[in-house]
Amino acid sequence: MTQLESVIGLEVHVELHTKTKLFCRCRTDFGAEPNTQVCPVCLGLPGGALPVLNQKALAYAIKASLALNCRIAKEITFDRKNYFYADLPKGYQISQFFQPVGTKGYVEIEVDGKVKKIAIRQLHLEEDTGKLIHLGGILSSPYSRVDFNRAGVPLIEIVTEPDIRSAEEARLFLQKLRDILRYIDISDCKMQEGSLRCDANVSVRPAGSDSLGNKTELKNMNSFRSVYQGIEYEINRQRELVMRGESVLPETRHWDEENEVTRAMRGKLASADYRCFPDPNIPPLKVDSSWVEQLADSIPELPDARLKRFVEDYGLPLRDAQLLTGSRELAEFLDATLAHYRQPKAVSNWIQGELLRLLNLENMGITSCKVKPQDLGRLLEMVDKGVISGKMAKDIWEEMFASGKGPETIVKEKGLVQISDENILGQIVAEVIQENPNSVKDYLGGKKKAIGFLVGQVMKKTKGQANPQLVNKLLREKLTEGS
Amino acid sequence: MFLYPVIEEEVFAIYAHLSARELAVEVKKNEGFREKMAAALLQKCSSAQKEYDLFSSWYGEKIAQKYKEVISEKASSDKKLLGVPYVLDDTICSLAFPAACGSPMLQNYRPPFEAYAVSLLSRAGAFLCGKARVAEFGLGCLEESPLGAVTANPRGKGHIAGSGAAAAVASGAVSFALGVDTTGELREAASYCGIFALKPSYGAISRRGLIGFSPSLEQAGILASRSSDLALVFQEIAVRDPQDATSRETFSFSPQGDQAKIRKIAVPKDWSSVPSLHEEVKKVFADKLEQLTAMGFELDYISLPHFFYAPAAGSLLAAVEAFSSLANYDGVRFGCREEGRHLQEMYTKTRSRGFGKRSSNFIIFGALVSSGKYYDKYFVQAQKLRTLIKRELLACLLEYDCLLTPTVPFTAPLLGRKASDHGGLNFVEASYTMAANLAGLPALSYPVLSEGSLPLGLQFIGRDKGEADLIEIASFLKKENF
Amino acid sequence: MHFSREEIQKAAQDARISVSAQQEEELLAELKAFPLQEDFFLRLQKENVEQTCYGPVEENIMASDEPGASLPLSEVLQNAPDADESCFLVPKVVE
Repeated sequence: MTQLESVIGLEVHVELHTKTKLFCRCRTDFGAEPNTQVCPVCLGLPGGALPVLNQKALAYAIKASLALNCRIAKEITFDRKNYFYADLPKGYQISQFFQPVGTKGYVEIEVDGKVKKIAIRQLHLEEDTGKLIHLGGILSSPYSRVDFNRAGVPLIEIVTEPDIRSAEEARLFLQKLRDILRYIDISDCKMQEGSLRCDANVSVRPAGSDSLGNKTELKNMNSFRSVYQGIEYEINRQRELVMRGESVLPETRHWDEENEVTRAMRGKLASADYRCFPDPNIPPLKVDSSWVEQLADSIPELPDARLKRFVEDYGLPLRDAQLLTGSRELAEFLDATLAHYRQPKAVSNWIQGELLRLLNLENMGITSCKVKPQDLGRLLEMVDKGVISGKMAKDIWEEMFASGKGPETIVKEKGLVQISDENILGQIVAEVIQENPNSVKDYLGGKKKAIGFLVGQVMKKTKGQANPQLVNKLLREKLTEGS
Repeated sequence: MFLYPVIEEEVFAIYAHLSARELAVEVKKNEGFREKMAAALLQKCSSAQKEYDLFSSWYGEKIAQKYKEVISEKASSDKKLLGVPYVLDDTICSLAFPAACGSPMLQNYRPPFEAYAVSLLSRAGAFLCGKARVAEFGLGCLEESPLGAVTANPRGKGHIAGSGAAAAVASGAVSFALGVDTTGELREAASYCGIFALKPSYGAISRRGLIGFSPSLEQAGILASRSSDLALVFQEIAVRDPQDATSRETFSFSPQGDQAKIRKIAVPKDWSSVPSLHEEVKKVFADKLEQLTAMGFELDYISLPHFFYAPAAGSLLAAVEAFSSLANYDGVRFGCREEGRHLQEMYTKTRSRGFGKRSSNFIIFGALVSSGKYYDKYFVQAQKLRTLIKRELLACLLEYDCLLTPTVPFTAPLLGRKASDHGGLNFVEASYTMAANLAGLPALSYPVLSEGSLPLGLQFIGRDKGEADLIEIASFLKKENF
Repeated sequence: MHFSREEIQKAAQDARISVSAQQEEELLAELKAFPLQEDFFLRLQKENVEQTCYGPVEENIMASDEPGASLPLSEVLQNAPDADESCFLVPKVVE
């Protein structure tokens, strides 16, 4: 038996976070009451369906195309995909077939330590459909309720070439795609909320063959995990069929999350004739090249480039760099902090430790964090200069996090400046030695750990403001002097 | 065989002789006139409705009261069409009336918005009397109707009017009408009823609020008894609409009275080989060509090999667009519904009952020629043919000021015949009109009235945005009693 | 133009319109009489002519991403053949 390889292509739908819909000025707010964000255009009322393109949505699609290394069309057109379904108000969906926004792009993923390019066939704009609310299950429901709030919300669809060879590659691609799209700030990309959706075309063939086997279209994978599991399951299912000499039916299959299997969807076998043709209501749009340049300039450094820079320029360990570049905001926080305080590893540690700890504790995103990067820089600088201790820094940090005040202000308000004056500390150290003869005896008798107790006593007397290194030094000096 | 309607009603006489401009001036300055006007409108609309069955919905006997209310609200400001009565094709949305569009599918449908052109007319002070009957969705002229009513011709007893709006204008009940012209419907009805029609350049008037079926061909146009009224109304509504992406930059439009700039006129040399051309139309048109030559116009008979393919290409393209554009009639958000055991059955039952036969056939025709197997063979080739027709016309209009043809190959058909007698999908009635829709060029139908025969029309096709030229030549010819 | 009965039935089905035997007959006759010059279309297929899919159009019209008014719920549902307090109702979607 020859080896079988799997061939996978993905179709990814991403909801753009514009304020209004793709072709009308209805809001796109999530969670609005049903059918309160609709108008004659998105409801497809007779005489009302005259679409006017949302310029922001096009700008987002161009940015996404640029970030995914696509060629940008000089002229784009919109086309009608005709079919009947209850969530489709006009009887056709406006999409792009003939002249999409972006073509021939790629995304790089790392597979077994090697960079692999996944080619992107095209990236186009299209409108979302409405939502069906079934009473009970879809099979048992006697009728369905239709909410058209989502109808007309702008989506981009990203179609890959069948370059993906495993469920793991699919997952890596999707994660990389999400990171990139979040970086350029065009979508929330939340799979659970449906702002990122992924369908997979899966087939198997003898390894090395150029021909494609019958493919199934896999739907309803609502998390990165289910994308992995669904594809993995489907590959194995198809392999077993082929091994048994049976054929794979070209059909649409549904990932059943609960039972962890894929199931054929009824009535989806016949390939539909969508009769796509240019929508006469939307004339072709010339894409201005200077506008594209402007949009290109607005694209921030993307995750791969930033990762490279963090490792090479900042000298951060790969693990740190990966974690920090996983979020555009965290990475930008690091960059901004380093502009004031150039100790990459220290800042990286602080962000991964203290900042993430508090964010997780408060269940907050970095965007709502009140601390300014330069304030973190100054806080760490104060530790370096011995103005405050590391322990004090953590207390001050909590206060900074809660109030957004600068570290100096907090230090001043609370009188928290570290005591580093040798004269003052010398006196206190002398007092502590006098008051604790037993510990002194222990120390001198060889129990070196006893010094910890004495340091603690000094800290207690100074309400924690004594410079601990200095206290240590003075204690040792004084204890050795006396012996 | 037929008689011009004798206008006996005395009250009606108060506006029959006034142009829209004159009428607006009277309404503005003379409160007593408004009273009389309201009474006249009631009388005239009622009798026209009784005689020709032209309204699909209107104010009925409340019209006089409504007229006075609306006008007194608007009389204080300067409005060019103050108190000028008009009707709309039922396929144009207004908030005041339902839009059944001649279809069982839309009986009792009330649009929750109005057409942009209607808003502009309302702003200009015009008074909307009601909605006029159309063939189902305005596809072709009103010869048969799934709703049963077919409007009679005020200028040809026993013949069809083509549309309720044309009858409303021809009967003198209203000064003008706004209608939709997709394959030539507006010009055809004007030809049947002996009035003027202007189908403007594509995109000159917003299509927002037009319940159409073929977005790339359809255009709102004007029907009137006077060419000067066409000009006045056009000026008010030919405004770019930012909510219609196909609407075009507002262009300067200032027809200079009745001095015609048009001198060089092209006539398709094969104009008389249209198979359905009636002898009478042929004779009148030939006479008119001679007259024009005698008047000093330069006439040339030129070869336009693709011009007469226009009805077939237009029908095919409009059918594909209709298949898609009428897919929103699914019994979910509006319109009629026939219950089914499941969603797809509900669709099929609803659409089978809701669409009349001609619409059904047209939609199926569109589905056929755009299906996978025939998409390239028919649909794509028809789009290429459209390019050839358009190029040919543009080239002709570089050399000539306009193209002249009969408007329709025949005069108003008899009441009670079926559209399929004319070929149904064939659009023989659009033999001369369809090309202007395919090319998006402006076209004007000029009425030819002669004692003892049915009216007919001459069609002038002009240059892109050349509406002023067309209106000027119409005014000039009218002045010359052409 | 010539089409088979099956093609007519399939097109009708795709358009969600049912066609009686009599209507099918009429439609076949109408299509047969359709004045399309098949030869001319075949020739055209080989010619390199661009397609015209739009009326004459000018510069782009786009809209800025500023919310406008939506319809009030009462007007959204006013023409609906079947609706509850906030949604349109349709028969079950599974056949």
